[in-house]
Amino acid sequence: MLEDKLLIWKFNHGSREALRSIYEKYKDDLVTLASALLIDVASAEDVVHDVFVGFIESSRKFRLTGSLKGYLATCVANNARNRNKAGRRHQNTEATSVRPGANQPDAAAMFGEELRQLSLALAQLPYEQREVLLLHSYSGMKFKAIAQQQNVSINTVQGRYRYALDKLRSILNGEVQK
Amino acid sequence: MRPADNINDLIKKLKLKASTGLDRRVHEDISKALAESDKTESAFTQQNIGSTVMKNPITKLAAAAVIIIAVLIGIHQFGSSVPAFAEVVQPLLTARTAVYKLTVQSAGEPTETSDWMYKMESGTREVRPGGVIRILHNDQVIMLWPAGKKGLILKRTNIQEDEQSQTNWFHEIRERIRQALETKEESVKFLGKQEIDGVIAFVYRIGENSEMTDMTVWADTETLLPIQIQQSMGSAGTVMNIEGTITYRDIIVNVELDESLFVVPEGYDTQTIEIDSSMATEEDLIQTLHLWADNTDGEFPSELNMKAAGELFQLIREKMGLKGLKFEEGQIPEFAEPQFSEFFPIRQRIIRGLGFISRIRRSSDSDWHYVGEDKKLGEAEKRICWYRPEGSETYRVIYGDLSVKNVSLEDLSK
Repeated sequence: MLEDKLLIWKFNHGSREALRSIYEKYKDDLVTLASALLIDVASAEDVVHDVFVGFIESSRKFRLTGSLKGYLATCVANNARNRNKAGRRHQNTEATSVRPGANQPDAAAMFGEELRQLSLALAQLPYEQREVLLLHSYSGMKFKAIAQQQNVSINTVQGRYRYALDKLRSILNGEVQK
Repeated sequence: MRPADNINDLIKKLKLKASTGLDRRVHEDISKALAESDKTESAFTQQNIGSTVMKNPITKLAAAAVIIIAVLIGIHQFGSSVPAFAEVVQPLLTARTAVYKLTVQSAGEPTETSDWMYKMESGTREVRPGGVIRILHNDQVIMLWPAGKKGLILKRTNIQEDEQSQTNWFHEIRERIRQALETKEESVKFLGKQEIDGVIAFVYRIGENSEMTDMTVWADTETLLPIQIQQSMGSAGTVMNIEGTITYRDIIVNVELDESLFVVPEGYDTQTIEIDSSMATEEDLIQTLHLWADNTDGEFPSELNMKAAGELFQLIREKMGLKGLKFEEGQIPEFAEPQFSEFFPIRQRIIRGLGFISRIRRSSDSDWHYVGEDKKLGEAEKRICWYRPEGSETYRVIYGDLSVKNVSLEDLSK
């Protein structure tokens, strides 16, 4: 936490070397988040790359405030959402989900066998619910911050989170077959 | 089916690693951005921005908080135009890989420069002046003779935990820098600017007044990247007994290093020797004294340190018929020669005894004394060395016949 404050301080004082440190510190978490959002590791890495390219280009134009981890997670989520929308338009698939196996045969296995069921279940959630769940449970963002990021009410965010958890429980307990 | 009650715990377990391809893309983009930036604009000349922002009272409070944080964790700031030491060393502390030249200068020895590579998860690789390659992993040391396609693997067994620094100098300097950043008592002194190989550099020194070795860091005034680090080896009177400097130059961090650089290449004829790396004991010291005396007509050495051990190794090599063979300088070894595989275990056993001395001397109460000069193996009444084990009221005294007795301070001084 302390280190983040220093990284932000250095970043805000024009040290683009701080970018390297920020990248090294958060790259794995961000790739994981993007992969879980998009169910596709290659696209996830493109997202993280795009986020940092944007970061580099704008490093002189803005100052970071608040949580660095939250900020980066938001950037990844925004980029992943755009990519997901573009992918849906391109593939003309259903608007609510990216199904494992449709375009990434091994997508469900990307987190290893132990978490295979979880990744399969996550892939069956509507994208918006998956995003809320991952931003809150994986990235530790507060519902209020997620609501601002998604430009919806906090009640909507909490609702999506609840639905996501219920559905995951159902899938993992085998009560609902996909 | 997995119970679903712990969904949040499961989600937190999700873990992927960024690929080296992504690392390369992002670091290249950052490097490109740095290279394209206006060279005259140092990151720390943006004082105008800072002044403007500081007019806002809320920002003033925030800045004050940051300064307090910086002071608490030992960030050293030297004035408006000088970058903080933490800023300069940050790329070193976070580097996944690095390449550098390392020059060792020690009193009475020829200066030696070799090329090094460091990869966080793979170890270090040194290309020595004669072309011999030495790869250091925590669990083994690999020596390669590319000209003869031969490899020697010194496999370390019974390794103690947290021993990485013993085989990885880059890790060691990082730890030293971290200590300097995190310890309030450490002093980081800004020495001004200096030109090195045509580059103007900021110069910092750490540990000048501490008991640790001191270190000097030069950072390019334009890129703020460390370009040279020099560490002193002022350990006269200790087991290492080496005085001199280790200098890291031409440091480049986060370059792509293939994993194949850290293993034995295909087609090499290799020999594996196991080396015991467990914690050295008093028995190891006794064995060292025995080996030493056996090879010097029963006489104990005048000093018991690495420098004296180096001379003993030469003597043993000569006795084994290995004299004049300069393996580390590039001469290709002949593994079929039995002496070759016999020499390394003997060398290691002697080093273990010195390791024991080094370990007990870390305690300020050990009161280690070596008085073996002019004494011979078998002289049961003569003391060779003594020390006080941690927490003990009596001393352990080793005699010329290599027997050991517990002796009180009163009896010791008789």
